[in-house]
Amino acid sequence: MERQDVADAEPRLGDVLDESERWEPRPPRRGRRVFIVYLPGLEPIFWALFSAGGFVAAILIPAHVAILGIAWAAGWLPIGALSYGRVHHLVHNPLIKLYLSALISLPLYHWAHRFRFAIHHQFGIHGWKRLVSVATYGTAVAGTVLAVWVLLRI
Amino acid sequence: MFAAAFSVIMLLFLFALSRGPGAYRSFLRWLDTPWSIALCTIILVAVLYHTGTWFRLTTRILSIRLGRRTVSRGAVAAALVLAWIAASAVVAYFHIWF
Repeated sequence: MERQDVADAEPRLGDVLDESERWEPRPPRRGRRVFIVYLPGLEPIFWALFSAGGFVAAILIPAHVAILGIAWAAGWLPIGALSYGRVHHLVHNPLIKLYLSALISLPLYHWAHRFRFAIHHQFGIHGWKRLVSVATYGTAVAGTVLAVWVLLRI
Repeated sequence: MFAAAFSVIMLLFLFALSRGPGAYRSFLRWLDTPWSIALCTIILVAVLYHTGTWFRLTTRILSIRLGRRTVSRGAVAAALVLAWIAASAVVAYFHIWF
């Protein structure tokens, strides 16, 4: 609490970095001879998900948006390309389900990680770390659960 | 952020698909509205910008060594662009001709 009050009153770079380091793995202090295993927490997992989501967003989503969002409305797709029977049959395939759950959930983790960073380091809101984490990563986890639930119903 | 907006659209698409032909058809009608087209155009532009920045970033942080030589940044960028074209072609194939 005390640290948060200080950060709110006068946000200095050192305070911001101290705060964010609490979420990151720390190397053992120099001069200590005891080997201590530092649990890195969830940060590396979210970093990996962020990176995977960034890759999916870069390489797969442009084609999806262009086809589903623009080509369909413009009438460039052949008749029946998005017919219920065809799409339902396609999505029924387990491999397609796996692909779609990754396509939906990974960009959500990308957003969560990036947005959490933006709140703390770009918008300059240094407090409520836990609340922001729960809200952003929670949204991503909820999106993943929803995607899997919907796909299992098809 | 915009990729996440597409995730939401995709979720709604699948939700409509799971509710049957009627709901699916009304979702496709929504995709035809100017609102949806405007939203998707914004998403497409933003995501293409993300593709550019992400690939530039990747060429900076990725260093592949083959024996003693390191693959040049240009070659990594070319491989990424080729992978992007191939992935887009596969997505288009599944959407249209499969």
